[in-house]
Amino acid sequence: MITRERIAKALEDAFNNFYHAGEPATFEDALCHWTEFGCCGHLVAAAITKAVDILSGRIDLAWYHDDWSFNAPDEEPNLIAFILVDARTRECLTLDAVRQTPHVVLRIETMDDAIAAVGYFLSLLSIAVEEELLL
Amino acid sequence: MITRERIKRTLNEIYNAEYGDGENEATIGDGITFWLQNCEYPFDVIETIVEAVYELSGKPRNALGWHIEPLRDEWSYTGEIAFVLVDAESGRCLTLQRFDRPETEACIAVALPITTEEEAIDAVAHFLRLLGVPVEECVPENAS
Repeated sequence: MITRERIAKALEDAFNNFYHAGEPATFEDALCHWTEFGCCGHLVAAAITKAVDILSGRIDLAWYHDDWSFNAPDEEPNLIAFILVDARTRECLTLDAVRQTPHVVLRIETMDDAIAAVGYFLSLLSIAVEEELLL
Repeated sequence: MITRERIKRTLNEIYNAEYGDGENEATIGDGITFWLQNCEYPFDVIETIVEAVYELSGKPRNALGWHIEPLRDEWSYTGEIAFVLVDAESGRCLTLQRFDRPETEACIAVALPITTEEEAIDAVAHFLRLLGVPVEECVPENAS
């Protein structure tokens, strides 16, 4: 069972993997930049996907993410579209069978949102997470 | 075999029907030029390309899932559009590209330049091939 604390640590570890000088120093800093200024969304999204890679132990996941706020009605802020594909089988795990869209759009504004997003993707991979994390 | 000429005709018929004013013929090339000059989200170009793929492949609307993102740099659109295409029935991602080494990340999207009518035709041809529809190869004009 993957806990909330473990996900929070994985997010910071993931963020440290691709930290570059001049960018926010921690995942929480990147979140602040994203919610306050609308920048660094790619860093937030990349940390979330990398945390899923770390916690799932999978090296065969393929991701795409996109700052979705621009596409949303009324340009709603802080939305990120994620697509997750199992590269071995080509199965798109985020496919919405009703709307026929390959992406899920998640609002990421707080650490809780980011942790819930990681929990959601882990659940798509059939990895048990704390029940309170499920979206 | 679907020819490039047929793709071109289909793109322009769809574009003109949706965005023409009834007097002057509107072409996909007009839409692309407007997009790149005015830096506005190219809904018209994207919808025309997708619509042409449905029309030429004969696929029903609920058969395909698309995610489409016009790529931007810091200041403006780059002229490339990223496409993710999923077969909604099987759930398989048709645009997935795997690389030789297993530890190398696979890529879900294809980024295609859409700066001319010819490139829009190339894009439609690319998606038709992914759907198993035979399409005429592009032969350079100077080929012997």
